[in-house]
Formats: sequence, structure tokens, C-alpha cells
Amino acid sequence: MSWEDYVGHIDDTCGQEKDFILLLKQERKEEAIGLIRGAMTVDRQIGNIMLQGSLRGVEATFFCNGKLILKGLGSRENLERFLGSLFPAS
Amino acid sequence: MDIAAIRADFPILSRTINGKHLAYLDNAATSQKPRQVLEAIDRYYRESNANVHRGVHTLASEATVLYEEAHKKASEFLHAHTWREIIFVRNTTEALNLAATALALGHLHPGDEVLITRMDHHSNIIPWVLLKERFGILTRMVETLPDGTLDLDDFKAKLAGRPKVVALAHVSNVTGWIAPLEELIPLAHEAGALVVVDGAQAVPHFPVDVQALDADFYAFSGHKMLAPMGIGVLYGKREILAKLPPFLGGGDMLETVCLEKGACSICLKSLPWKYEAGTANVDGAVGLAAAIDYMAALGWTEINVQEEALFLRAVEGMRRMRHVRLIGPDDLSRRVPCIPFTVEGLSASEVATALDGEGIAIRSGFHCAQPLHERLGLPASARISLAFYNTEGEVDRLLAALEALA
Repeated sequence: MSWEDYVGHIDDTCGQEKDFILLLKQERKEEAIGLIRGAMTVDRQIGNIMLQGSLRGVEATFFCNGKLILKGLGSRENLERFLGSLFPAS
Repeated sequence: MDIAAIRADFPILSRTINGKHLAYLDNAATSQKPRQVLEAIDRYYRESNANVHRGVHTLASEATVLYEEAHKKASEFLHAHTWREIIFVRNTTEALNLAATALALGHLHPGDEVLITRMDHHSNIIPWVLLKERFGILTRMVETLPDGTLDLDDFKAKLAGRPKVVALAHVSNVTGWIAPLEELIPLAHEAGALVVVDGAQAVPHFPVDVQALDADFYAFSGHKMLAPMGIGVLYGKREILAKLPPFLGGGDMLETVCLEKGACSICLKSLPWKYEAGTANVDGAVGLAAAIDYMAALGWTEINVQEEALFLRAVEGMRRMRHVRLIGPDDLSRRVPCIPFTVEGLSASEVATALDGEGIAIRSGFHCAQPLHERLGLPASARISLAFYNTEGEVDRLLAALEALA
């Protein structure tokens, strides 16, 4: 098991800040949501739509439909390293 | 307008996204396609598929007639003088690159200036900027006002530099603002410039008459006006196209080619074929013709009445929200239904992702207009763009979803 077992697709956002949007894999969505929610420090909740806060020190927004935006990681390499720590290999 | 009947023509509009009915409000990126277009493409491949201009068999003749008829339809759509002024390309970007390169090869000289604008899409900026390295051609940028519209005084001032070409959008893909080409093109011509217009965001929303505008070149993509992706149009005045060299070389653009003693002499085909080297996108052309027919059957009056009502409803609703900031000029009469905005405390991609959760498709980012966003002081924006097949119910769902982001 690795982060690739949880994350189905990664998109770069368009704009000045190059963030990443992650789509969780349907078959492991509930497990992934559990890991994200367990590690997330929530600063702001907007209804049942999204949670803004941080994940292990990385600015993050988690959406109830299972999408996750990660900010400020800069590069794909940093993103993959971070995901490796969030979804540890087993 | 019988909106239910129209929506029944668009199979994708009955889809659900995240368990909700799709509300497709990203029409400036690409439009959805009616079954009449899908069926025309399907019929072409089932009944008439062949390579055009290259065979005497029945299928080749049928495909050639369909392809040439599509040129004639596009010519009537733009009110060109003749269908020979219509060049089929992949999209607006390719059309503008064709115009820029052909002009660089046959009209411009090192040190000549091209006037571009800050409000334009990258597609009408980058092809001109790239000419500097290859041909020594310079660009100057017309600035925008704080509401994202063109600074007309700056435009007039920079014409004093006697640019050889003015390249500008008919409609901004960010704000939906309609540039006053009827005023700007005569000024550019008086200054001795040819005018190249990006019409990608104009043709889905109002009739364009290239002869009345006196545009020298006019480019658009089929996919933003109900046709498939991969087909676009470059209109050029016949006398200008006739003088310029081709952009691509290859099959179907030559009458004769003679290679003897290390020398090559070629005789180019007549317009528009000298600009259409290689196997043509016949199915795209067939789809474009069907899209033009569909819009003609609906009529501009019906399209405009529906779009204006939706535009007003959306803007009025959003103006009431204190956490939403609208971008663009307040006067909606010179805008197509395109609404860029930001939401306090949220990034544009957060807004778009939240709306996607409600089945509402909108755009976020620079919309390929980074210079304009920099001028507006925005790291990105969210953008709603409406089409005639959208409904009041969809706009109301959008407003409710935005309200929930407060």
C-alpha cells in the first residue's frame, strides 16, 4: 500500500498560486477520508461543504465530496513526499 | 424560447454530477453539443467518409462537397465577401498563429511593431511575442482600465507609433466586455495597421459581420459555438491572403511541384487551399456546418433574450452577496454573459471545487489571461459563463451555492 492506492488523480490549479487538487479513489475513499480528518487541524468549516485548515503543517482544504486541495507545496516532488507521509506505506 | 425542447437536444445536460443535475456554466471554455451536430458527424462517418480533393470516386466527391459547403456556411456566418476567405484550422490559437506567421513572412519587417492588448487571451499575445526572436518584430501592449476594459486613450496614443498590425479580442474571455471594434478598426487603419481580431468569445453570442467591421483577419473556434473541438476558422481579406505565403507546406495545397536539378518549383493552389495543407478535418467541418445551422434555426433574437435574462439574474443575485466581489465593468449592455468573481476567504479553485460538489461546472484560474489578472491584482478568478441552453433554475442553484460559501 502507498499513497497511490488512495489518490486517484492529481491536478495542478491554474493561477498565481500553484496548488494541487487531489481526487480520492472511490474504493479507498472512506479510509482516506479517515486518515485526512484524523491528521487535519481545522481553522474554518463552511457548512457541510468544506474544511479549511492544515494537514501536518501544509495548508489544506478538504471537501465533503472527497476532493482535497493542498497549498504551498511548490513542486510535484514535494507533493509526493507529503502524500507518502500522510498515507504511509504498509 | 422552448427551453425544455432545446435542452432535450443536448444529451449531456441530462447528466448528474455528484448526485446532482449538471448545471454547465463553463461555456466560455467550451460549449456543449446538440444531437444535430453529433448526428451530422456520425452520418458523415457512416455514409460519406473519404479524403477530400483527392479522388474521383463517389465518397470522395461527397466528402469534398460537404467540406466546401462548410466553408460556404462559415463564410455566410461571418458575412465574408467570399467563401475563399475562410481557412479551416484547429482552433482560434492556430488561426492567430497562422495570421502572425504569414504576416511575419510576407508583410512585416525587422523592427516593425505589433500592437497587442492586456485584455487579450494568451492566444492573441504569445504568437506575436514569439515573432521577436524569429523575425525581429516588436510588440507593444495597450493597457486596461481598473475594470478590465481596454484603455481606449492608451490605444489611440499607441497608434501614434505607427504599428503595422493591431491584434485584439472582439470580446474579453475574462470580463465578457465587447470591444468597440467599429471605432477601433478605422483608427487602426488610419494609422496604417492591419487588424487581426480574436472572435472566439464573440461568435457564440451575437452576429459578426467582418465586412461591416472591416477586419482584415478574424479568428474563432467551432467548439465554443456548439461545434466539435478541433475545427476553427481564420477569415482573411482575399487580397491580403492572396499576397501572403502559406503557413504549412504539404499535400493538398499545391497545383504542381517540380523537383529538378536540385531546385524545387511549386505552384500553390487557389484560396483557401494554399493555407490548408494536409488531410482536412472533414468531420469537424461537417459539425461546424451543423452548429451554424442550429444557431440559425434558433435565431439571434431568441439566443440574446435568453442569455440576457440569465446574465441579469445571475449578476443581480451576486451583487447582493457581500462576500462575493464581481470583476468587470458594471454596464452589462456591452458584455456577453461572462461573470468573473472572487469570494472572500476562498481561492478561485476552492470556489470551483465547492460548486462542483453541487454539480455546477465553472472555471477557475487565469483563464489564459495572466497579464489582465496581474493588472487587476488577482492571483486568479472564478468565472461563470452562460449559454442560451442554461436555465433560471440553474442560475438560482448557483446563487444558492454561492450564498452557502459566506
